[in-house]
Amino acid sequence: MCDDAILEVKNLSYSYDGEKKIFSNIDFKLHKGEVLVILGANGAGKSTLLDCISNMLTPTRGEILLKGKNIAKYAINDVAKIMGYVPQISVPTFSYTVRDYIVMGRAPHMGILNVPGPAEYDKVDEVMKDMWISNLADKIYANISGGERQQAQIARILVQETDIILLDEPTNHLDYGNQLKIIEIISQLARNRGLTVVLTSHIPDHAIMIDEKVGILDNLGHMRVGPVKEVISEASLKALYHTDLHLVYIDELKRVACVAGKLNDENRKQFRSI
Amino acid sequence: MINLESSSKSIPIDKPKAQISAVWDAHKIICLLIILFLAAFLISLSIGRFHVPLIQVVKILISQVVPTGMEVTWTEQMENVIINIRLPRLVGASLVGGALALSGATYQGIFKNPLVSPDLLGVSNGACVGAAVAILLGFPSLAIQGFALLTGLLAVLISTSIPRFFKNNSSLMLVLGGVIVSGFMSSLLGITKYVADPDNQLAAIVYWTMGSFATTNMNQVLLVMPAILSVMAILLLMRWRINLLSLGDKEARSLGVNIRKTRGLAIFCATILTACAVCLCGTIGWVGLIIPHFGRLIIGHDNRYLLPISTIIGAVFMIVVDTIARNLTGSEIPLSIITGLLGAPLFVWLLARQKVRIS
Repeated sequence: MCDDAILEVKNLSYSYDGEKKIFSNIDFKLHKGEVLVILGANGAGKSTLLDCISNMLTPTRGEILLKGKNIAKYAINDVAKIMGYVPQISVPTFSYTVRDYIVMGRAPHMGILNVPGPAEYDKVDEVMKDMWISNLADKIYANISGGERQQAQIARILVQETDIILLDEPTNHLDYGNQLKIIEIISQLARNRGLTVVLTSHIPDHAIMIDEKVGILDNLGHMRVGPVKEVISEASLKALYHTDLHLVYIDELKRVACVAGKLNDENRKQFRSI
Repeated sequence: MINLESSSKSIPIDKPKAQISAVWDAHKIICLLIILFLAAFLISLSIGRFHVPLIQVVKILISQVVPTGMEVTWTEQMENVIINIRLPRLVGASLVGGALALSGATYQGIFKNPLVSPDLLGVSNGACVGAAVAILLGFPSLAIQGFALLTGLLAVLISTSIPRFFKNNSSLMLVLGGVIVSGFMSSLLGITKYVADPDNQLAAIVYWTMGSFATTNMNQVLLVMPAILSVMAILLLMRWRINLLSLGDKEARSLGVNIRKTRGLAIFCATILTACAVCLCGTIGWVGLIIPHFGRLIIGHDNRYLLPISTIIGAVFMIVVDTIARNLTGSEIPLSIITGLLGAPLFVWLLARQKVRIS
């Protein structure tokens, strides 16, 4: 390998049943401590892309290299030691305590007949302390709030001790305060722990706040990847969401923010009959 | 370290202590249940139309293990009733109850659904067809059991190959496979009943499908015991993996679980348990469905504790059911009738207690 890219996606394409094309020819490289925010409209294929990267789906074409080695050549358990995946918030059918939920992150490091013991729980307690969620330990995971659940999911992935974490719309269903909290946690994980993070989002501001790499997945299934300043523009966002959007510079924040304008005429016509 | 607050002062936590006490509580509950099981076992041995005092039961059992050095205070008839008649069926009942409950708890965990039972993939209906065919052909009881075991396993094999046929590895596809095979097997069972001689064969088939330990002898029990105990041991050892599987396919896979192999092994073990239980005493409903709920009420949803506890409660429940079956009336009552009559109201009560959200 000519460089030390930890995650490399090469010429990746996916189509359902070999016909319905979801995305094609996606290329990007991420190094230690880099964050990639994938923006895309509903149904653009962001989750499918994450599923391919996380080895849940086999891409139709192209390859994914983890630490320079094709992901298909790893055992499932070894992928889980390098790359963790947080799906969109899901609540298990059964009521586990938050602590018992987080300890499941140790699974890739344990044998099939082992159960977690004090060493595993020590790791859980340490991570929960770092994330300031020790108070949730004995609560039932299904009963805590959405923001708390997302933090517990991130804690589980930290206990998993991977180099890369993938998050599928981690701010979905969260209020403003919790969205900012999760964005801040993600930035800190990359900066302080050197984790490589890939996340999907609907909100351009999240990419602007994190200010690292961004990928815009359009409806034709192409993704343009680059630094925020190069990729995010009013024109690219308008084309992405088919609506009037503005990037406004906010003095106090020392950054631009994305503000929605109005629907385009074509879309508005559709709703006239309502 | 990620410190979301500016200061890095630590929060006092005493969670490890709480965890230790939870584990200790679980162990205490398991010990209590084992004592309850032994008590139920001994009391049930003494109860019957021919009453044997409890102290004599204990003495007879000890005399079997340590043959010399004890004054014989019991009659030969007592020993015969305890050792040759009641002991085999109680050992059988304990094994079957434990097997069905463990199998049910495993299935419920794997399929993320507290309302499934061990015959989800068609093992019971399949076994019934095999047993019915063997009865039609006039085979002896050992052959009936063998046929039941084979067709039960065959039914599950077909169910599990349906997802493979569609190249769809999801749990839902597996459940649909089970529905298809169960339905088909129950039609085949209908055909065997239709062509059976109504005077004796039909009665034998119907009686078999309702479950009974009336004809169980020690040889039959010893034949399935090694299989049941060893498979139970595997499931109990992989109990934490059931927790992982219960998160759903995607999350479990992201945690490094090889879904196909792990779920396959768990389903295989749970199926063997049910198939062995069915071939020993015929089909028995409700146990695999309600006992895990009962376990959850006592210990919570964590399969690390739920699986062992369900196994013991299942054994106790089956001892009680069998004791009722042989004592309530002059003739034996089929087990499924009692498990149904006890199970249905118990299930309503459990659902009310657990406030299970069914949408």
